Amino acid sequence: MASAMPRINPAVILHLNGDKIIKGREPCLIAISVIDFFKTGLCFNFRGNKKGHMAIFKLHINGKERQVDVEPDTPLLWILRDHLGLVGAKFSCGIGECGACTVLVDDKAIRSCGFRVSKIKTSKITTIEGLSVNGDHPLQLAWDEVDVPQCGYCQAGQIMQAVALLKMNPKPTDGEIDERMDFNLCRCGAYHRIRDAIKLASTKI
Amino acid sequence: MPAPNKTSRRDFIKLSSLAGGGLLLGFSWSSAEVGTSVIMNPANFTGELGFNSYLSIATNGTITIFSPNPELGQNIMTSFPMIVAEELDADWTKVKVLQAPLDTAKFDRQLTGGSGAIPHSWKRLRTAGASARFLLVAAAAKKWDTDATACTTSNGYVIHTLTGKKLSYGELAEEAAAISLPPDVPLKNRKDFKIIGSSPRNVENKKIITGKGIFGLDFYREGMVMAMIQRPPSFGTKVKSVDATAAKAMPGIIDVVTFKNNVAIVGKSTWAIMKARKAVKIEYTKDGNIESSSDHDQLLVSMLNSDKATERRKDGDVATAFKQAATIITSEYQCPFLPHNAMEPMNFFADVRPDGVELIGPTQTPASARQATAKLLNIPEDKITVEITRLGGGFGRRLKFDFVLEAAELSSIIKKPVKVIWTREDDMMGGSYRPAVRYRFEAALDEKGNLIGYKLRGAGINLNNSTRPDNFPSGAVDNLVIDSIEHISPVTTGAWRAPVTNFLAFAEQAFLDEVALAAGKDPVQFRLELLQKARTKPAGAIKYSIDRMETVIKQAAEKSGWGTKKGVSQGFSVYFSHSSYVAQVCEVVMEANKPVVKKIYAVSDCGEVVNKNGALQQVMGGIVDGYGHAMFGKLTFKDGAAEQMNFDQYRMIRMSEIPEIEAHFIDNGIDPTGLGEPALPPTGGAVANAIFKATGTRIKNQPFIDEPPFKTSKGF
Ligand code: FES
Ligand code: FES
Repeated sequence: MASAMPRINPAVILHLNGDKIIKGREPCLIAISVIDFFKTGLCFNFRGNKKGHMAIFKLHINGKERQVDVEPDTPLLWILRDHLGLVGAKFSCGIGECGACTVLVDDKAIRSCGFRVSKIKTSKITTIEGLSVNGDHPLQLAWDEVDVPQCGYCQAGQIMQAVALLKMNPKPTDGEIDERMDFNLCRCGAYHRIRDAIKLASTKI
Repeated sequence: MPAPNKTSRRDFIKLSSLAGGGLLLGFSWSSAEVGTSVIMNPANFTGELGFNSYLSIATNGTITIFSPNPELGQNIMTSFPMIVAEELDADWTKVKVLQAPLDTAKFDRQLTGGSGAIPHSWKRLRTAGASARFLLVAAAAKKWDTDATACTTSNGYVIHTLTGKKLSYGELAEEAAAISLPPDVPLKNRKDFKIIGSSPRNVENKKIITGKGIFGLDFYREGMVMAMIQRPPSFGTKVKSVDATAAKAMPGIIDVVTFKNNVAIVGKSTWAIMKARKAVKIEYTKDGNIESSSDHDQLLVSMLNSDKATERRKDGDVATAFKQAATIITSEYQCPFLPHNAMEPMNFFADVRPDGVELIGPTQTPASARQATAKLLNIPEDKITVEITRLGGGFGRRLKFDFVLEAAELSSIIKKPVKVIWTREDDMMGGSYRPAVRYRFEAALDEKGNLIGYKLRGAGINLNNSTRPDNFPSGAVDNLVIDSIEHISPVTTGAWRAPVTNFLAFAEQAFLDEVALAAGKDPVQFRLELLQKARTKPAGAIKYSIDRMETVIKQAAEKSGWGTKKGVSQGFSVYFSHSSYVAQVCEVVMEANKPVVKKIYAVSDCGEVVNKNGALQQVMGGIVDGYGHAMFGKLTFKDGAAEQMNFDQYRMIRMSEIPEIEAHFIDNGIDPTGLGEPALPPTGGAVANAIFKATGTRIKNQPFIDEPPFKTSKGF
């Protein structure tokens, strides 16, 4: 029996393209078109680029200019984690479904696992590490006060998603919170407290 | 027992960081005599003196204890120091807990599982705190030339009651270290508890919300390489041939090595490895049964009719009871396989060197992981160290150590420090699942509606005993038989949060409602009558507390206004697991002809609630978990391979889908029992019973969305 691995159901790609909406939810705000997605190599019929064109990219991350020498299809998540030692954004699904890798690109919440470096250009990136100097962004303070984290693995992504939400909509209703936060999974089920912390922070922003 | 030398050295380093001395109190974590503490002079501390953990008070007042248990979100790193701080009357802000590395010479239960850490350590930690407090008071009394009874303690100070003079614990620590300890140190009366039962914040919040690298996947060491492993996609297959020529030539790739049925792609960066992995061509060949979910479905049904089941409990004369029955109710319930899906995928770091082995990462069972590594590499255990990182969830998956062994074996082959990383697809296809189970229940009622006979048979995949034969209603039915049968499958299975009971509780509590309906009784009243029967005329051994179970049932009925509400349909469920008792009431309303779960009430009896916040998180999280998986969770197999590989195909509950939860605890002062699991099992039953009440449709299989009334309704 032969099997080329990893296998993937074509639904993944459709879903990321936003054409297919599963289970009544919106597609993720993954900031790439399906064409880009194929080119990134995230797509599972990728034919390897053996020469591996490396390129130098200047990135604006957390108010600093950082330079990396990587393949242009490298997702931002791995630039942050492997090349810059910024491990706050987490890897969990790698396909834009869980939000653990969420960072801000020009104040928009982006799944960094699917956002390739060549697309970043002059955009400003903010990660959890750059959200505040002393960990005292109103959402971080609210997260502590409400005591949200359980295992904590999803929480940096949750906070970054919430930052983008409050930038767009500083006084969200419960329904509006749910709608945005549905992009982020929490396997520990800390959703009630995540919602409470966002409501608390929204009173202080 | 003398500790190995390297341990002494590590302890000595910690010790010398106690600048200017301080109080070190050794205490026994593994001894049966939990009351025994040994006072140490820091200068003598070598780690070879028979005690096995310690509490230290530095001269600046910082209090430190080492916690042996892996932290995976159960909040043990906060709850443990709370217990110490309570008896010590410490300033909570100065108490720290550090994750201890694996040390089987010191700790006897260094694992996270079975909701057992708090019950195990409760007395040990209290005694340690009380002993330190005793010494600090004695030191202050000596200084003031008074009697210990003239002193009190509060918030990190000893206070002279008459004059109001006070000395901080830090100031007293060194002198306290010179005083010897009496054999019996009194513990506080629980009415004086200030910290136990309070809601301090998680001590690791700051690290978590600022994105510090505290998880295994974040671990990095100069010179290490990374690897991903391609395992056979189908259970029951093995590697036939590997062509890695193209992959090896790709940038950032160091090597591709095959061991056992693993093809490891080793490289310098995760992305390079992910890309090269797709260029490896692997052929697999059959190596055992290749099974699909349709095979399992047939097998489970046929096993229920087999005569090969193993008897687990038998009371009375079941055959006669069923012969004499006025009514017989028979029902079958089934659940699918479930992956654990901890948000942090499996990973581990290993550095196998000629002088020893270092293992670092997220594990629930560091001791078993080391034992297995020693066996695999044929290296003595004392040459292997294990450091435990914070776990991004466990749910039972990290009780297994397959990922530790992979990392160790790979490091020994490539002779490099390596971190092995699983992807979500690896995780969901990689086994150790909650197995599929099917139950058949049969109940015999006499003409008055009394339950006179009860039969339960469990059929499970790789589940030797899919029952909990001594749980309620055992003991309440005169004629009862419980047996089980298993099918051995190459699909690997393992513990999943609240093993067995995560589905058994749903099936049993739903079935009891079916029986109550047939008997014409209210579900709550029916359960209370059974308990009363168990109390007055027990049938066989009773291994749960009738009183505690009765109390949570009555409280849940009262808190939820059972039977008094208009416009909502309520469902009841109660379950005893991991020594705790939880009753739940679920409320469903019909919206656009569809049942919507609005609210779940929970009343838990886990004895003394140590950490109110932590307890609420475990109960609410357990309910969200139990509801989410009952509703949506399903992993199926086609030709031996998992058909759902990532979150786009495997649905997990999200924020907009959670019900309101109201959690209560019984305040009875009984020594604490576990809470990491017990709130999950009752949820599915409460939900299904409420849905039945609302729609008249009885859900018997998980996931609920594949069943009526959901299957037919749009929007789910
Ligand atoms: S890891 Fe990026 S969305 Fe899951
Ligand atoms: S806190 Fe564990 S996944 Fe969210």
